[in-house]
Amino acid sequence: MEHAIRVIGLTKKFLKQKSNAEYFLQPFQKLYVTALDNVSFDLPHGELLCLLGENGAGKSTLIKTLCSLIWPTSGYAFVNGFNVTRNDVQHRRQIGYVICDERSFYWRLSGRRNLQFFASLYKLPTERINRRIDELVEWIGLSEAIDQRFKGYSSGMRQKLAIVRGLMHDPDIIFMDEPSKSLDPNAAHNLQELIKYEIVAKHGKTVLLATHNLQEAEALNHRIILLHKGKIQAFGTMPEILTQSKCDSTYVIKLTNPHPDLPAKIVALPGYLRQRPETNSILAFEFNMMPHNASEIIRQVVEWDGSVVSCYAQVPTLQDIYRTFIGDS
Amino acid sequence: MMHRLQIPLAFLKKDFYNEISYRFHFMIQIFGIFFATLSFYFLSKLVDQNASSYLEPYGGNYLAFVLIGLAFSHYMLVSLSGFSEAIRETQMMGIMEILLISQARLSTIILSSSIYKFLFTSFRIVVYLLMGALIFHVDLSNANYPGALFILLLTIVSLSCIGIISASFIMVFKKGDPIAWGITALSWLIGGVYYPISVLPPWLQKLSWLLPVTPALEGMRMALLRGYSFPQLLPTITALVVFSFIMMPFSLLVFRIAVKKAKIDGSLTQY
Ligand SMILES: Nc1ncnc2c1ncn2[C@@H]1O[C@H](COP(=O)(O)OP(=O)(O)O)[C@@H](O)[C@H]1O
Ligand SMILES: [Mg+2]
Repeated sequence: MEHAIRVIGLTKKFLKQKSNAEYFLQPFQKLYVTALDNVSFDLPHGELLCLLGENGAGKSTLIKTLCSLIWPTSGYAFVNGFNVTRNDVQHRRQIGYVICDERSFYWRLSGRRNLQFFASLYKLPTERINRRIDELVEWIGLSEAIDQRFKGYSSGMRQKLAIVRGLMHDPDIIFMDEPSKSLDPNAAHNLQELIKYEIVAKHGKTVLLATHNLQEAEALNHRIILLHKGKIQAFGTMPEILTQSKCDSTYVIKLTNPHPDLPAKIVALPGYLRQRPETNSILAFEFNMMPHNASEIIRQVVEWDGSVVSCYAQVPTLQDIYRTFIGDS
Repeated sequence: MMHRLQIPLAFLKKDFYNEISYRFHFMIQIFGIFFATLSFYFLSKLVDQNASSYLEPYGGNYLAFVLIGLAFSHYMLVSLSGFSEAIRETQMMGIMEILLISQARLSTIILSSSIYKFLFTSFRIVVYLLMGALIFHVDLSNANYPGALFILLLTIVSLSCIGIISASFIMVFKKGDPIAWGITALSWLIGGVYYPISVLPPWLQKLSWLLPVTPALEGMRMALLRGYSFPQLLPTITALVVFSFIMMPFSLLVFRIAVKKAKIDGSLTQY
């Protein structure tokens, strides 16, 4: 069968809201923001793909375009073989959308009534809706609150309700826009496990998940699209992207009260990268992992009478990886 | 059948629960109906003696005259502004996108959005008329009910077309609803809701017939108060049918275009 998602040269330009100055200087000129710039990729059925990028990278725009909620400026996108600009009603049954926006519920109704309403829009039988609510709410840990009014929910609970809503009609292809944004680390971890093992591995669903969180992309441990300013910068698994970025993990070694000569010696060691800002009596140095391993560095420093407080591997941040792809702009 | 009605019923249920969650407001609304009828009853005591010549064509009873006007104007308000209010609310709550990716059709969404308001209005109107008939002895004994109901339905459909176009306005421009606002304001003033248009200066009377509500309201009063038969109501009915048949597909098309425009702008959830 065809790909679950196929995107070909997708570009979206939004008309920019002019500032007052721009309004006077260029009254007739239309200014555009390019949210997606010639994006192409395929996603086979039953796979999980992480859309990784900082705020404003174009993640939400891409997801909304695939959900037929935003009309592309040029290029094509097919979801389940359907052109997104055709927006076929029957086809929408196959699509689930977990919205990033926590507002999107009726505030004065309970979580349950909200879910009942939204699920009815998929013409599911009432018993099935109720059964599914109980099942999913239990699964995500919202059982106690489900009959309370939405307006009393914390943002984590709202987010959970949005996730349940996106799954109510058991869609094949699920779009999740920063689903763990307001979850605490524990709940976020649980959600990642749910997505990875239940939704994708067990039930064979296709998931496209947007996140600005590198750790989340790593934890999900599938393929990643690195999006920046609407352009795909890299595509692949996390190790593949790290290799492409030539942005390796580093060692950080911390010393306390070193001899005044010591820093100069450490700086001269092979693989030395930079000194990191630290508090009062602690000094921190960062090393490349490549030429040697941690024990070698520690042995050398101890030999010079340095007292090592700690030494750990430093995983590159999204910013580090970005920096290698696009410079420091 | 059940299947087809599932989405409209879901909207109805959701709006009902939402409405009764404002318990106090809900009670006030119910009491409001009784108070309105009562106050018009007292007003009618004053008017009946002085305005008989103006009211003659309508059977001579002000309470009967004004209750029908009132009932009618409530439907007018919902038809003209209900849709755009619902759309604006949906956009503000960030729910528009959720509705649009669901399996509900665009026409189902827009039409279902006002069902509750129409039903509540109907309830209100039935209470007005029942109170009028049972307590204040408004005489509706020789009314042509099917005729009146038919005109009412056609009026609702016609005005809803304008209402949907105005909702399309809101969809794209987020604000300003000049069409519905203008028609509503003019209808209150010269459409013959509270007083017969015969009290207006002749040039205003002519102008008032250009409003869609004037002939419709006139037709309804004739059917209810004078028992006009279908042939006598035919001109009104024909006009309304023609208007609805042309305008309903047109207004749904305009709404469709508005949604597409909002998708191009990426402004489905902006307000
Ligand atoms: N409706 C819109 N009108 C104008 N600009 C928009 C609109 N939606 C998004 N943008 C712009 O497009 C870019 C991408 O936004 P978005 O897709 O929301 O990013 P992300 O979800 O990755 O944070 C941003 O620069 C944003 O300002
Ligand atoms: Mg976003």
